Parts: sequence; structure tokens; C-alpha cells
Amino acid sequence: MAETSVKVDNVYMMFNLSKNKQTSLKEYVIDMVKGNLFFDEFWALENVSFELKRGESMGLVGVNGSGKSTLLRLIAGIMEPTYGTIYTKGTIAPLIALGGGFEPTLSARENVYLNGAMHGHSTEFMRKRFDDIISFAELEEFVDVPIKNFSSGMLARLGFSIATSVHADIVIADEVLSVGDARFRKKCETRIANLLKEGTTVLYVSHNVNSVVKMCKKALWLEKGRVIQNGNARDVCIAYKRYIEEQTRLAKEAQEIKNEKA
Amino acid sequence: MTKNKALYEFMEYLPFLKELVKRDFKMKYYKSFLGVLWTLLNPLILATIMTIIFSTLFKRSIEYYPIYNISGHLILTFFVTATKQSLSSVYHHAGVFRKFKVPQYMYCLSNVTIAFITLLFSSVPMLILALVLGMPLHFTMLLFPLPIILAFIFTMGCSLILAAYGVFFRDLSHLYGILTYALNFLTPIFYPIEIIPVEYRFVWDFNPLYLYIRILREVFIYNTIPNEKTLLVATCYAILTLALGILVFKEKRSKFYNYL
Repeated sequence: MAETSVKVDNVYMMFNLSKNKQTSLKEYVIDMVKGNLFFDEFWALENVSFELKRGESMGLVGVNGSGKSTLLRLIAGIMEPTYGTIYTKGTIAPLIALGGGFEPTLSARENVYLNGAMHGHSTEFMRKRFDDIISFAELEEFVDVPIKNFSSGMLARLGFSIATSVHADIVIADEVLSVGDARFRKKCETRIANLLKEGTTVLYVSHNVNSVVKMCKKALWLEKGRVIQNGNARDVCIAYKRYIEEQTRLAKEAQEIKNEKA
Repeated sequence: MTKNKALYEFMEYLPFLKELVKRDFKMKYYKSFLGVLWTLLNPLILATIMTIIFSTLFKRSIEYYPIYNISGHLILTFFVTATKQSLSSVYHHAGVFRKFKVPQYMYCLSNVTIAFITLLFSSVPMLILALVLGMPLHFTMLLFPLPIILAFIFTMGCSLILAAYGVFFRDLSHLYGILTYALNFLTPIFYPIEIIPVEYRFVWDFNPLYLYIRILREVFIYNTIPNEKTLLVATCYAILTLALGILVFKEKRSKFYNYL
């Protein structure tokens, strides 16, 4: 059980947020002539390190823009870190892309294969799981209907069903439990719980601190791309919640002072 | 990225390429009115128009003018369609690359493949027309795959380069539109090379597309086997361009995330 599953080592991630980022050749040439080619660096992650053993689960908490999703995308291999290394062992199921990459004019059937291929699965592989995917998404009647006619709930169900149909060693979940209606959400939760049974490593992002405590043993608190606290999920979440309450109170007070002055 | 890792990645996403090609093929041929028929008619219609306009002008210098025209048109259209689509292929699918690990060049590969399939379909009317016009058939015609495979490799290289730079410079497609328009005239498709003054002809000789078109015409119309020098130059163009394309794409790829 002591096998390392995910190891994030001194990871830095930089984005270029330059306001006059050149996306046209014309502008590029003009700016080059003017000597104006500067770059506005934005560090989405700074010096982030942690390690997860096989079967461990970790929740990521932090306000919007704290770098949670960037970290997940780095671990999923969608982007590469500017500095530092990321090591993962085994197959990864990134539940980040739910409903992404669908082709509106194709039928549900064709989209299952296309989406599966985007996850790197062969046609054979998907064929074996096809019935299961469709029945879980409850779309049996609509298999050959172009998905442009689907409701957003149907699309989300299909996306979730495809992404979770595969057994993976590492599951990366970014706010996935906001799929469909209450009944389907229940079904999703059961499915995720099943996914997590046999020694799966989990990385989980949610704004719902309670669900992090419920689902994860560990938690990592990110703030402006830096690790504030890393440890037991309960402790981290309590500290984080306190911080948020404090921030809300301060904001409220500031507003009151403003109102009094006005 | 090491060689093995890149190859592994390519193999892993080969099914994806298959699905993409299948999808595009379906959209183009099943789900469109006329479908394959359009692909077959398109070169015929163009060749007819060109023949009506130019055949009296070049009657003496060009034998089987419609075939001469179609053969050039086939390769140029393939090149232009494939590269134009590839140019925008990476940034058009930014949404996919933000969420999936899919290698960005896969869309490029699929565009070139689809254009190539269209090229193969479009060569059927060329053969039919040759029979109708009573052009003698000969064994060198069997060498027909050679120029189009070379054109395929060359086009793939160009597409990769354009796709990589297309991410950084979104106005490249306008610029490239002008270039391809000029290419219509800079490649001898509807006129014989002899009308170009000798002192400028070296410019035409530099055009790799003309090289492939020339080889195609030699084996298909003129019953000749192209000489070694032509073949060597044509092969070098193709392989070097592909190698350059791979290098450029690999180099630029790590910077894509900032622009997608």
C-alpha cells in the first residue's frame, strides 16, 4: 500500500497574461518594431509539492482562481508545468472534461466512440463498455439521435457516464457532482464511491467543504497558487472555513464603513 | 520528450485519429446532399470551364488539355484544402485541448488525410475522362501513386508548420489566403510552363507542387518515367519538409497553452 501514486514536486506554473499578447502577426511586427514585446507573467502555481500513496484521497480547497483546476490539469497531463516535476503511476480518469469535446451533429453512439478516443481508448475497448455507458446515462431511446437535440442534462449524463466507465488507478474530479437532477446525482455519487473502492487514488476539487471532508482523508488548501496547509482533511477544511468566514466578515465590515461614510 | 514517448503517445491516440477521420468522412459524404457525387463532379466542372476558356489558346502546346488541367488541379486543391484547414486546426479545437490530453497534431493529420481521400476520389473522374477522350493507356500510369504520396508527405509537413504558427498568429489565415490565391497562378495548372519567360522560370522550378504535378503528368499523360534527378529532388522536398514540420511543431507545442 505504500506505493507512490501521485507525486508533485516543486511545481511552478506560469501563464502569460499580457494585455497586449500578440495573437496577430501584424501586431507582433508592430510591437517588435516599437520594442514593446514584454510579457506579463502570472504564476498560477508556486512551489507546490505533495505526495499521495496508492488508495489515498485528497481534496483541494481554495477560492476561485487559487490554482486548483490548473493543478488538476497538470496532474492529468493536459499541460506541462513550467518548472518542477509531476509523477503519476497508472491510468488516470480525468473527470474534468464532462460533456466537453462532443460533436453536435453526430449521434450519441458516434460521440461515445469519439469521446472515448479523446481519452485514449480504442474502438474495441469502447465497444465492450458501450451498453453500460448508454444504460447508465439512461439514453437507450436516443442512441442514434444527433446530440444537438439533447438537453444539457442529457449531455452531462452522457459525459459523466463515458468518463467514469473505465477503471482507473487515479481519478481526478473537478466539481463533477453537479450533474443532472437530484436522483441522477445520487447515482453519480454511488458510482464514484464504487470507483474509489479498489485502491484508487483520488484528487477531488469542490467548493463544498463538507463533501471534501466526507470523501477525502487528506486535503490541500491553495491560495494564490501557494500551499497554505496540507494535511488531514478535517483540520484543513476547518481552517479553510474559518478563513472564509473571517474574510466574509471583514468584507462586510468594510462595506458597512463605506455605507456609513456615504 | 523522448522519441519513444512521442511514439507511444502517437500510438495511444491512433484510435482518436481513426474516429476523427471517420467523423469527417461521414459529415462530408453521408450527411451532405450529393455527397461523393459532388467530389466527383467538382474537378469535372472546373476542367470543363478551363477547357472552354483556354483550349484554343493552348491547343497546340498541350495534348489532352482537360487531363493536363485536372491533374494539376487535383494536387493543388489537395494541398490548399489540407493546409488551409490545418492552419486553424489547433486553435479551433482549443476547447478540446484545455480538457483532454489529445496530441494537438491529430486534427492536422486528420485534415490532411481527409483531403487525401478526396484527392483519391477525384482522380476517378480523371481516369474516366482520359478514357472518354481516347487517351492511350500505358503501364507508367501504374506509377500514379508515387507523385501523390510525395505530395501527401510534403503537404503534411507544411500543415504542421502552419498549424503551429496559426496558434500564435491568428491573422495568418488571411495572409495564407492571399498566398494560396497566388499559388493558383504560380503553379502551371491551366497553362504550359513554356509561356513563362526563361529568365523567370527558376522561380517555377522551385515550386515543389509543380514538381509533383509534373511527375503526375509524366506518368499519367506522357508515358514517361521521370528521371532520377527529378525524383530525388521531389523526395528530398517531401521528407525535409515533413522533418521540418515535426521539429517546428514539437518546438512550439510547449507554448500553446498560453494561447489556447
